[in-house]
Amino acid sequence: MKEINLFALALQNLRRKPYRTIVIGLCVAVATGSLFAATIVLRGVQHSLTVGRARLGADLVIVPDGYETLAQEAFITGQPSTFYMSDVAEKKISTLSGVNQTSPQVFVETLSNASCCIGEFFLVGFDPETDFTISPWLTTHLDGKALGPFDIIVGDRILLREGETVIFYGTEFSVVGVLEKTGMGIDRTIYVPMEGLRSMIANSETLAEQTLEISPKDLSSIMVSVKPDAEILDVAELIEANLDGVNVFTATQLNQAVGNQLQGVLGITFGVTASLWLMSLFTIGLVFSLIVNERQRELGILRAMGARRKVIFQLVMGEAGLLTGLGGLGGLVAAGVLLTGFSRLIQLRLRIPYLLPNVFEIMGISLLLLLLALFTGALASLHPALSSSKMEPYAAIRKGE
Amino acid sequence: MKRLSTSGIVVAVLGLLIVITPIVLPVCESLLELANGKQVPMSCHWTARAEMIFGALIVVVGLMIAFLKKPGERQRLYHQVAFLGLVTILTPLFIIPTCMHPDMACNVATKPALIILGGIVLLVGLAGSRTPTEPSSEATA
Repeated sequence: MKEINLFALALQNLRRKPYRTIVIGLCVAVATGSLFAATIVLRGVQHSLTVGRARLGADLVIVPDGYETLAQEAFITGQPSTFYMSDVAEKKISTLSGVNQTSPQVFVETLSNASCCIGEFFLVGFDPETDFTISPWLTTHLDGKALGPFDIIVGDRILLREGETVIFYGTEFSVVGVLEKTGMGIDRTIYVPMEGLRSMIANSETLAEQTLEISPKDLSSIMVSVKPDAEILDVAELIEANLDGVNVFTATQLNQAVGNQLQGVLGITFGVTASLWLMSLFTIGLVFSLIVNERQRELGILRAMGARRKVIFQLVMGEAGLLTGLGGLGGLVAAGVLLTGFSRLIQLRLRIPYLLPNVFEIMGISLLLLLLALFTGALASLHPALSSSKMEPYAAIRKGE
Repeated sequence: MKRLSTSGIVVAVLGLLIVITPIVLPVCESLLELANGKQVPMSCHWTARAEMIFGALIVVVGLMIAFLKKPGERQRLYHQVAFLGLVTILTPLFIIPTCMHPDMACNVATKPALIILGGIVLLVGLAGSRTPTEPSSEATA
């Protein structure tokens, strides 16, 4: 005769009521899945900000007054933004105490994509002589080769690849490198040496469909690195006090800007998820109390046949554990598939930087959430399991009739 | 009263979801201008059209499964469901690829939705084609 173990018995009981099993399983799946998705998005944003800030390299970014939000958006999402200020500002800033290094950047928006479909590109002109944001990357990736004026470096999300050429405003550029993925605006940015960019601007009158009205003395932003012994915020205040018409923001403020964008959405998601957990906890508790009541006769017979109290307790707990475990696993798989498929949509709609955390972190989060799902099942079914295990066999059989 | 196969109805609903995906999550709407000045839709426009046809075929096969009584006949139809699911996945990837730019509407929303739905259809098709459907396990309509 085939031996029936506890697991097989629990599985059989769950299969006996498929509708109830599916509904409770779905409750747990939705709660686990939404918590998993919210946690991964949050960790993805933090990961992206860490990588992006390291790539940005600057302690302070100076932009014309009134354009700080647009500039922050350009750094976070790569949304092309153009604004200009005089290069006098850079000369003044470099003389201030606490300032270690300054490097100018000029922003240009392209008219159309040259190699495919449609879309506007964000061109950032940088000075290879003073730059400390892209240049460290160049030394490790270009084997010390000098960057020509028409050599460009592109972000990971730009379709161009090394060795390809592209024409912007009538000027041809060659792609010499592709930056690593950061999940931030850098991925959708094209870095052009200042000499090449100025030449492109000057030639746009004769070569391009539209003339670029940017003066050779115009700058869009100034990247500032602060001396190691100076306070970043003190230097920022000093710059704002000494220069009119500029706005200074720190790398930390970029994080705050992202935090503000995320606050609402993640707040709602975590709120809904917490409610779902509570709802699942009460539902499982209630359903298992009903199950135990409904199956008093069956449990009483099991006891009369020699099953110990511990076996009855384990059976009820096992059923709850199996149900919440399978529901949790289903939720994790579904959330993982949806998150992988729609990560770009989430990133674009929420306007947030996002870079998938590493595999071990994802596995750790999944394991923790699975344990949480199992714990919920155990907690909710604890009382019904205890009360059912305490039932006297004769009384249970009589009450269940 | 006729017995309807629940899994057949599930297949038909999945097919319907594939049909409405390009409507709910539209592909790129801009037109490409050719060298001769003629404006044509982007490739993803045709991907969407093809997927809507596959979705409609899945609906038809799903309804046939729902109304058929013999498990053997249903099993044969599930093979077709699995094949249509596979085609739904392969269409935006290889058969009629969507636009090149990863940030375009067709790539961020329509394509992943179609691949996920196609994957579910494929799994349902494979599961159905392996196990003969028992009339006792099905819902009564």
